[in-house]
Amino acid sequence: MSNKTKSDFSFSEIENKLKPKPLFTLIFVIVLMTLFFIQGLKAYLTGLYMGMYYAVFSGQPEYYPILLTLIFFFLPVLTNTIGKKIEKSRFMIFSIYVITIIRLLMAFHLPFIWEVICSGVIITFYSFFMSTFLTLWVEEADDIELNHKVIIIAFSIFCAFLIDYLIRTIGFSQDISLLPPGLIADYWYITQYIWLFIQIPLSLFCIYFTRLHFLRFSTKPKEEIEKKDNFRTLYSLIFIGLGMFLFLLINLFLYPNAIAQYTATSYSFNNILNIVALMIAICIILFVNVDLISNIKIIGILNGFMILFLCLFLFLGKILAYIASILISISLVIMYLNFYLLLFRLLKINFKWEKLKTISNSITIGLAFLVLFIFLHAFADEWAYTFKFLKDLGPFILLLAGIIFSISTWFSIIFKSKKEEVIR
Amino acid sequence: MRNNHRIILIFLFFIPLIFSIIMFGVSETPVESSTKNEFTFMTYNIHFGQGEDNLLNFERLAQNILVAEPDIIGLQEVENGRMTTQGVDMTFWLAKRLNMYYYYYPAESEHSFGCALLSKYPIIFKMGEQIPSISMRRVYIHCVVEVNNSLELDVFVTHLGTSGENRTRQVNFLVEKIEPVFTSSTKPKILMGDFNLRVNWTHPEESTIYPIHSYFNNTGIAVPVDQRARIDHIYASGYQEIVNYYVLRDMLPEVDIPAEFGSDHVPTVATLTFP
Repeated sequence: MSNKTKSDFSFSEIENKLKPKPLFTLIFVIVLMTLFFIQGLKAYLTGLYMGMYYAVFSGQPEYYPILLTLIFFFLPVLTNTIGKKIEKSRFMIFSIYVITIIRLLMAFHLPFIWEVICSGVIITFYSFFMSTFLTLWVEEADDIELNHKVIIIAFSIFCAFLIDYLIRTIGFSQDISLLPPGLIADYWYITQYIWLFIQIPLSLFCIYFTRLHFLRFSTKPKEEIEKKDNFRTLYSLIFIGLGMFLFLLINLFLYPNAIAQYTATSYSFNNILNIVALMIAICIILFVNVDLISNIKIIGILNGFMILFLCLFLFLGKILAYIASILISISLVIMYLNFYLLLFRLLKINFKWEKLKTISNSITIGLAFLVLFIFLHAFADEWAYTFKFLKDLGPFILLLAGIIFSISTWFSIIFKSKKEEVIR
Repeated sequence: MRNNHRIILIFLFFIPLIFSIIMFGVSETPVESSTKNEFTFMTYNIHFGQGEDNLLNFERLAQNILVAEPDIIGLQEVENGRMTTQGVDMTFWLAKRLNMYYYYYPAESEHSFGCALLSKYPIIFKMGEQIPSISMRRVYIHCVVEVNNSLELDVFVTHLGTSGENRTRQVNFLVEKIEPVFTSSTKPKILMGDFNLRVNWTHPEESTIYPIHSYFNNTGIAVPVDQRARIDHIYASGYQEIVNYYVLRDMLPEVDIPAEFGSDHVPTVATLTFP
């Protein structure tokens, strides 16, 4: 029984299989890329909100270019085209360098419009990086099981979220670039460059580790030729769940203070609870067998609870107070697991085309729905005065996103690639 | 994996949790009471923390506020957990940064466009309410600040609408809410905020905001003429003397750059004495 529930994943085993390259460097680069993506996404959306405010509501034409930057969310659809012209591994390494350098530039505090453009570039190149890296690693001829590769990737992504929580915690719910030292009052404006002192070594390490580890990725795929799945293109829509996950987190659930406001509870309490939720999710993916998590009945029940807890949080948050904040932290664990399962399925399924196109299209669909829901929620929430019919629908849109996320995960589990079915 | 590597990994994994628990208890306790009778008030529309350069910078806001060393601050356009502020709870952050008590009341949903009060002294009563509005939702907050055993202050903070029709309704609503407080309490009262209008100080009776003047002794008339041409005002009643009333225009002495302003507004400051 314990073998069925316990994962056979082991860091030591992966480390041995990766030798002589250290596993640490691989995780380090994925974590940093994801962290820069989270920071880029937050900076971009801040800029977009202000740009929209000035361009649309105040009619100031100098802010129109901000709206054009939305194109960055759709550029990842070109990944496959570029991937055919440039060697995939070169494209991946180039993407890492671009993200690293652009994030370094952003640490210098660029003017508003440039900050928005740079963060948009980070979003696009993170999608390029993820699509090419996932494809290369999945197709690489090594001894590491696909399940274990997914665990390493999900572990790294969740660690990036954990670091984001840490940065906010030590800055009292604020990013470290704005952390007040309170020591050099006369030169306080220098303090905004604190992140720069952290970013420089991070960028250097990132470039060094990329040269150390990522160059090893060959373009020689596994000799074993996998059967092509005949799933229709349309089916890639099931991965809108990736966008819903990002929407729910970036819009509300990544911020313990927002949860505290919804439930009239303490920020610090929610902060601890949310960090614990993320740590539990990480432990589950490391120590629990994925077959158990992806059991259709179990995931159905878990998602049922997630929707129920979301309802209680959104509509009875203030009445239930601490109960609601505990329930939403449990929901967070389920959301992280859903994301893990989506990632897992994404790497196992091929929609008619080759792997790279499957992954990049799914990421683009996710990003497109992220943008759609962000606008929908914004017009139902802080800009509700523009479209009266959307007024007060904010919580319903969050709930809808949660339902779509659940359905997306559920459908992705139902899909089995031909190879998997043959094994069965 | 070697044992020492495993230990380092586990330690790193627990760091965010350790810090979150430490931060739970770490913060200085604000001043509990004061024997002084001179207090500085500030009203500041912080524009979601985005300055004249459109960049988000909370430390800059804190530094702007610290220039005047206020005891009680009324804030407008405050966000909590929205993407405009990268998900930050602005009131909480500023309160911790400035070592103050705080209260926040949102206008849109649970976290947008709200008003906040920061105080060096305990806030013993707090409430917020929506103000009738045609377009964007507006709110006012009412708090009682206990400065010491013998002095408590009724403090109101608000942010009125931009259209004339809106403001007339909103001022009348505010008067309806303030009136009972005046009849039931003898405490000194402060009303501050972004009223989105310039008062004609020569003939204040022509201003939309005039109904409020009758309750607050035309506080604004006592202040220097060049300081009145603003839309952010502080009104007071029950005070002894206006020591100072000014608009903070220079945040960084010897530096003249847009980056010195933490908002598209500048703070209005009043120092008053109380009997």
